[in-house]
Amino acid sequence: MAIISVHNIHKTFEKTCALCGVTFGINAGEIVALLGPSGCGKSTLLDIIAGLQAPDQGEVRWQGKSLGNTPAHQRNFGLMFQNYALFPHKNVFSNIAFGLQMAKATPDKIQTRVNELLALTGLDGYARRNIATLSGGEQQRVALARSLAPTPRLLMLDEPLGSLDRTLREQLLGELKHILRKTRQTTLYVTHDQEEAFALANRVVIMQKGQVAQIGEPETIYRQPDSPFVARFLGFDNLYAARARGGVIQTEFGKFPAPGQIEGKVTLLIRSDRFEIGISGPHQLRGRVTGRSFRGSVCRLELTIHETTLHADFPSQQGNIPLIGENIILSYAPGESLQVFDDEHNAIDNHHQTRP
Amino acid sequence: MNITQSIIIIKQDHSGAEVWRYDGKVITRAEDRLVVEAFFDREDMLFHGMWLRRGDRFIETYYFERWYNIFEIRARENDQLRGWYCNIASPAEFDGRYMSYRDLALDLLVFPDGRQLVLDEDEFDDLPLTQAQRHKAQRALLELQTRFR
Repeated sequence: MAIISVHNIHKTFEKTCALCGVTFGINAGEIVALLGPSGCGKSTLLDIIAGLQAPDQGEVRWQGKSLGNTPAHQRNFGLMFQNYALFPHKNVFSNIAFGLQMAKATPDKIQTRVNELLALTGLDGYARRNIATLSGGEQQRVALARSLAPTPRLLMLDEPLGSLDRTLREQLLGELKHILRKTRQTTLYVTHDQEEAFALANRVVIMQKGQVAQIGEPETIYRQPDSPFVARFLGFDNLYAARARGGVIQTEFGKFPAPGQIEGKVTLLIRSDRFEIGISGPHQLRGRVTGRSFRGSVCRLELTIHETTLHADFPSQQGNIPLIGENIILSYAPGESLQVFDDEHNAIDNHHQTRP
Repeated sequence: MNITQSIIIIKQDHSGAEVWRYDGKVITRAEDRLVVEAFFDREDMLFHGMWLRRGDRFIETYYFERWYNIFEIRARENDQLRGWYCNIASPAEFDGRYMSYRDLALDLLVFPDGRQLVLDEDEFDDLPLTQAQRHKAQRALLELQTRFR
């Protein structure tokens, strides 16, 4: 059973539904990422879990028991904010000690705990350092140490790496993952960055307009996005309006085999990373290469088929990637490459899928 | 008062020693500030011509970068504005549960008719502050005086 859970949370601001019935749980020691574009309600939800805002409806529960009457300072949840993560007028020690001092812990206990955290976050010897003399990465580690110092039963991180450059973000993400796993810290990680969420979390909760769009392990979500929204959010952009009839999906640029029983309006997702160049089976697409961009590990081709554009990604080290202007044939296996969503935007079980 | 969104507000003196603490309910959280609601819980008192009564509503805005905080005071019985009480203080520090600030003695009291009163300048002059802190505090007072003019 989940140790911390939210149940049917609703919150409305000036008639706009910021959260419209959000339910999910986090298991002990688990890292869950709350992922969504800005404005999807994730920060409001974090405030409600922290006890900084009250929901209009619904409940936050700890081990099944409502926290409705537990004020923020008694929930023993840690918070790490993006923007005012650190207190610039305090040194490293005083920043980390803040929560313990405010809770009136004894000086001995504070000293011991701060030392533990300095060691854990690789900041040994930094205790007396002024915050202004630290690098961006060091500051983030102090912020993490401070939020961990009171041994929170839930740690919530709100876009903690948002303001850092890419290289530093990746490095810190690795360190963060290591620390959270090592301490078995139950964590809710709020981000708009899917790479961050997928790299860090055991499970990801994708939010869209105040609702949960999909919950699952990163690999599962990546393999089986539940809706066109999730697919698009994950960067899959070969999504096409289509019509299903008698086992065939008709698009403006050709026919595709339909998975299972589906009739009427659908959205077809064609995965860009599962094509083979040339003929390797009966299912083929023919078009002209109208764009070609090198993206490090992959090379992306833009293919134009009857005025429709489709993207196809190939490993960069693969030889013979076609050039702009070439007419090419791509083969695909329907079970691997195609996914269909019905008019309600629900995923239709695919050929190869073995969902119960 | 709905206690579910309450945090602990801790006022410290210039040296960081705790002066008092109380519960406040979070009204708004933004990147640069936190607005809380708290209720006056001491004996009724006449403060430089402004009545403060037990149960009066304080809407307190704390800033994470500015060297002051602003309390808007409203009468318990009819929510009528009594005035504003502004503390010159170090920027507030907030970790999601506790919010603390160091009070630097200087205060600005503003009456509903716009009249302003600077309080405790002598005490401020006697505080062992650094040149930089003193400068920030004086700049903050000037900013507040301008804002309420």
